[in-house]
Amino acid sequence: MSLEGFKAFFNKRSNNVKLFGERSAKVHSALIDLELQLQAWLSEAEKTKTKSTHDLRAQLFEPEVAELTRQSQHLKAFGKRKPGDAWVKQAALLKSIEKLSSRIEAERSIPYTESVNGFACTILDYSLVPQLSNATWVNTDACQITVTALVPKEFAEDTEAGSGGVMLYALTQSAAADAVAPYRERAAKMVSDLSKKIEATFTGRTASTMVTTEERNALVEDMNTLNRKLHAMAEEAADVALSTISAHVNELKNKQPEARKNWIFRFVKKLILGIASLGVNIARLVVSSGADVFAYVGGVKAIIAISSEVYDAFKSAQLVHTQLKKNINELAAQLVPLQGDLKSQTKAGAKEIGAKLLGGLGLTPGFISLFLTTCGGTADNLALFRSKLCAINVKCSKMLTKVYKALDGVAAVKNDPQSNHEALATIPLLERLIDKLLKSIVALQATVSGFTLEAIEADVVLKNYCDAYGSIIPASKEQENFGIGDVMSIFSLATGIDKCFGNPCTDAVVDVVKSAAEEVKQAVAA
Amino acid sequence: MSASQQEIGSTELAHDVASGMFDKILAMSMSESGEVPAWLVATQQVATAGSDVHKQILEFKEALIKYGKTHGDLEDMADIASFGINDFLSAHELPMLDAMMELRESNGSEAAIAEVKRQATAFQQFISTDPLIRWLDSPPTEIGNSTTIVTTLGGALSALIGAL
Repeated sequence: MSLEGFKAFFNKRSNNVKLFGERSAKVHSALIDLELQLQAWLSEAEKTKTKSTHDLRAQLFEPEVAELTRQSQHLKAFGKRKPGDAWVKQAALLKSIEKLSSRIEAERSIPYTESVNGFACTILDYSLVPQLSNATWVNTDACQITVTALVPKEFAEDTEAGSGGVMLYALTQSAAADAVAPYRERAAKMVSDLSKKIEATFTGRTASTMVTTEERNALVEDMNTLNRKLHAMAEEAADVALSTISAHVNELKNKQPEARKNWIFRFVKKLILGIASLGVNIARLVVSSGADVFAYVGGVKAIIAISSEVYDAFKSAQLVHTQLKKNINELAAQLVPLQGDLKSQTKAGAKEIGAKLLGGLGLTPGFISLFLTTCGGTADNLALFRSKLCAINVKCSKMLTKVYKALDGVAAVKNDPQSNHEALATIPLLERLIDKLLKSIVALQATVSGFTLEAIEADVVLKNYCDAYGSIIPASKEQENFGIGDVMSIFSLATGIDKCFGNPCTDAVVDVVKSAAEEVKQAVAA
Repeated sequence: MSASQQEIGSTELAHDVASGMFDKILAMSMSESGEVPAWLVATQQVATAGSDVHKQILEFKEALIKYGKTHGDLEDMADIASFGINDFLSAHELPMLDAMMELRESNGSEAAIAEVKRQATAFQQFISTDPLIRWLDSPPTEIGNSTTIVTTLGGALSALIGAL
């Protein structure tokens, strides 16, 4: 053999190996950058918050960072064995690092205190929440405020609407109820004192007796003072509750390491943080701007409604991982006897093979149903999970309409020549807060909408898969004999998750489809 | 992940790992007393062949560098020796050695024999078709050195497959 041929062959190989080494170095350096970025963010957060809140945030990305590190370490060894495949993995790893990096950046833009306090507020026992039904006033049972009936409605709307009490009430109903109990007792006494004072003021007066301006102002002042105190207490209690909740989460993590890795677990956690942010934005809007805007956006009632949906979903999502893993193992076993069938097929039968292979892989209505069932623990829970997410989406849309209405109201005040200086002065703050609220709602809606993709979008996703990996799945809806509708569901589910997190779920589905396509190609070639 | 896969994740070179495993298999085979089972003898032959082939590859790399030095082509030849002839066996070799270790540990269980046979067949097939190995076994005469991977290791693998 010629020396030129020898050199050409081996030079190409050695250049490829060198190039691989360089790209590996790039992956490692990107990973280091990512870790530094995360550390910087966490230490930034640590300056202002307690350790427990820091831990909570750290948990948000810890699994991904650990996974990327593992992959990167493995890559070196893998590259030696199969440089070609390793290149694909390198590219994917870099992409994942970039994705996580931008997610961390995005997370960074959510004000820290808001997420964290909100998180504490939203881990509630929602079975009691319907009691907190009145958006204008703190519930009478919760903090024993008994003044609602005594105070004319228009007075109530002039107060700060009891947001501090709402927050405190939320905490008393949380998983950290015991830790917050002392605050609740103190709050109850303060509320009771004010209640008695108001009762004393109005006792003996007939319904037709007018409330004087002085009485009204004094009452409003008392309510606002009380609310400010409650609010301060709630902030303090939030930290206490957060520590307890953090411990609770850690306990869960230790008891259920599988659950922690689970994508639904993380998805719901993300949802909770999103809702928390929404809740706190509303509370801030109320504190800063009064009850009018509060009423516009649906207030606590809306937050509670959304949060209770998620809580149910959260509860149902804790059971998933083991069962799902079992199904995947079963699928692998199903594949083995299929090899012989594949080899005996002709090219003309490729579609049939595809259909059969999908059946073998388990992408059948039965599997989809099982898959989705295990995602939610039980069939009922799954239905609940998905319906809750749909409900959240709808509620977000309604809230958006209200927020736009509120913005119109603000614009009307701004453009009204009759508006006084005081009203105009509040507008910039109001606009800023509404904008934040708007962003919270949109972010939340984006998170859940992935799960409620319209069929048309799922169709596009499906077509892309067909284009990329061979036409093993008929793009037409007419061929429904192996559950194309259900296959679309799983893609939409996976894509939805991917939209939220770039989660391994999509990768898993891609892998299944990709290997199926590969098998078909090989069979056809044979 | 198997033991050998974990080891390869470290800085150790793959062929060193393979050599270590060959030695281990040899040592285990030699220490057997009484009648040596056929599968053990066959794996022992593969282990010897594997070690020989690794030595040949190292010698070939040295010959390449020597050729480069004497013919003003050191840069290219050193690059080829360092990056071009690395770990081309390990993707098949290590799983096969893992299976052989497992075979020894299970004292010749049927499942382990089947796995060794499967891995050895894949490895043997690779050796007989890989262009890189063809180049090493029949390099340009100017280099003055060659390996015998197909006959030495491929032959031992064929014998192993036949014996199992």
